[in-house]
Amino acid sequence: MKPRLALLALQRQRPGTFALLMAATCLLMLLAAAMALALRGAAQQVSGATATRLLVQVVDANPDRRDATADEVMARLDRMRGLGSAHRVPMEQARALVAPYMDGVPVSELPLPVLIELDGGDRGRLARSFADLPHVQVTAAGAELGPLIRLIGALRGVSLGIALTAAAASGLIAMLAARAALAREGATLNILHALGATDRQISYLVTGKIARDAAIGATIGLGAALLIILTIASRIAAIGAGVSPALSAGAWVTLLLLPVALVGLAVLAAQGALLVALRDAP
Amino acid sequence: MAGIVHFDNVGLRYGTGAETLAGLSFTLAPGSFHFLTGASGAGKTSLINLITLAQRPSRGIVSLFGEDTAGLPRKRLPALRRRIGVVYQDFRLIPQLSVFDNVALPLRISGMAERDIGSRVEELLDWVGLAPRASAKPATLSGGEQQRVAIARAVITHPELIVADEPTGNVDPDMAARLLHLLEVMNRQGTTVLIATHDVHLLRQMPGANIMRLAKGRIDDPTGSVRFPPRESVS
Repeated sequence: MKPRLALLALQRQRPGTFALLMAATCLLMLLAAAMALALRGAAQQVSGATATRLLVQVVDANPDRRDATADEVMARLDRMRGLGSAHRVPMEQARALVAPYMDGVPVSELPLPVLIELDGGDRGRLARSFADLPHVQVTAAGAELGPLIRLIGALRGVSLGIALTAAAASGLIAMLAARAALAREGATLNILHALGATDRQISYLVTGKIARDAAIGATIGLGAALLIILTIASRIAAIGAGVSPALSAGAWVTLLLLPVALVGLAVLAAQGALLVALRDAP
Repeated sequence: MAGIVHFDNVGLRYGTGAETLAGLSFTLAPGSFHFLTGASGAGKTSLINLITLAQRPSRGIVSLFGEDTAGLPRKRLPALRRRIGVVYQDFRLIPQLSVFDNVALPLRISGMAERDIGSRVEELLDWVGLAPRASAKPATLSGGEQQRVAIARAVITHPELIVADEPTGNVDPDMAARLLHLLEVMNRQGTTVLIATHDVHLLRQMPGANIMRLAKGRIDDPTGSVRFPPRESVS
C-alpha cells in the first residue's frame, strides 16, 4: 500500500502544530548541541595548551639570591634529559604583566618571583631535583585552570542534557501526534482494518505523515539554528584576542546529522505508540 | 464441522447487559447462498460483525475457513479478513478517496501491483454503472451510487465469503436485481454469500436460497434449511 500513501486524507493534510513543535525542539537541540560541541573544543584547547606545561617559580625577596637561584635552576634544567624547552620569563615582562594592577605604584621595587616556563617534564621529578634549593616551587601551569576546565565541563554537561531533553521531547510529541492522528482518523483506520490492512500498514500511513511533518519541522529548526550559530560565531570572532569560535568539521557534520536523527527518533516513537495503540483495535 | 463459517453456541454481550446474540450455532457451507433476515434490532449487524471479525464473541466458538478465531493471534486476522468481502449498511467509504481509489483499496492492501489494479477496477466500475464517476468523491454520489461502490469494493478481490448488510437498501429495483445477479454469479463461481436484508423482493429473486431468521438474538432455523417462499413452517 506504500506507493499510494498519498491517497489518504491524513497524508494530504498540511503540516500543522506538530511540524512547528518539531522545529522548536530541533532548534533547541541544535543550539544546545552546538554549545556542547563548542565547549568541548574550548576545553580541549585549554587543557591541551596547559597539560604538559610546568612553571618553576623562584620566590625570594632578596634579588641577588633570587637571581643566583634562578641561574642554578636554569643550569640544572639544561642538564636534565626528557625536557622540552625551558623559558625564563624576563623580569620586565613579568613587571609589565603586574603593572596594570598596581594602580600607579612603581613595580620596579616589587620582589616579583622569577618565572621559568617548561614544556614537558615530570613535576615530581623536578620538585625533587630542586629540593635543596630554597624558595623554588614547581607547579603545573594548568593547575590554576582546573576550576575553569571543570566549569566548562559542567556547562557542556548541561548543554548535552538540554539537547537530550529536546530530543526526548520530540519523541514524546511524535507519540502524542500519532495517537491524535489515530483518534482523528479512527473511522478511516477502522475501514482499513476491516478490509484486511495490517497494523503495520496502518501505522505506516500515520508515520508517513509524521515523518514528512517532522522533516519539515527539522528543516526549519536547522535553518534557524544555523542562522543563530553563525551569527554568534561571527560576533565571537569579532572579539579577537585569540578567542576561537570555530566548530570542527566533525562538529558541523554532527550538527547537520542531528535533525536527521531527530526525524528518525520521531518516526520510531510514533511507530511504537501506534503499534501499541492498535493492539486494542478489534 | 467443516464450513466457511461455523458458529458453535455463540453469544455476544455488550458490557454487562443482556446477550444481544445467544446460543447461535450454524454453518455456512462453501459455495452456499444465505439470506439473513429479522426485524430491526434482531442482531443481524452484530452477527455480521462477528463473522467479519469486527467483534469477538462473549462465548462460544466462531470458526472461519476452518480456523477457530478465538485462538488466532492478532497478526493473523488481516489475512482472514482479506478472504471476506463486506458490504456495510452505512457503506463505510473513505470520503477523501475517489470512487476508483475506494474500490481499489482492498487490492492495494493485499499488495497488488498498480499496473494490475487499473483494468480490474475499471471493469467492475463499468459493471456497476459507475465508470463515468470513477474520479468522484463519495460525498458527491447518491446513496445508491455509494452502495454500488461499497459492493464493488467488497467483490473486487473475489473473496471466498461475501457478507452484505442490506446491500440493496438504497438502489432502485433494476439495480438491486443487477447487484444480486453479480453476487449470484460470484456464488456460482464458488463464493459463499450471506446477505442480511429486510427486502422480501430480494428473497423472491433468489428462490431456493437458504434463509436464517434472527429473532431476539436467536436463529429460528439453525439448520439454515428454510427456503423462500416457505415450503414448510419452522417454529
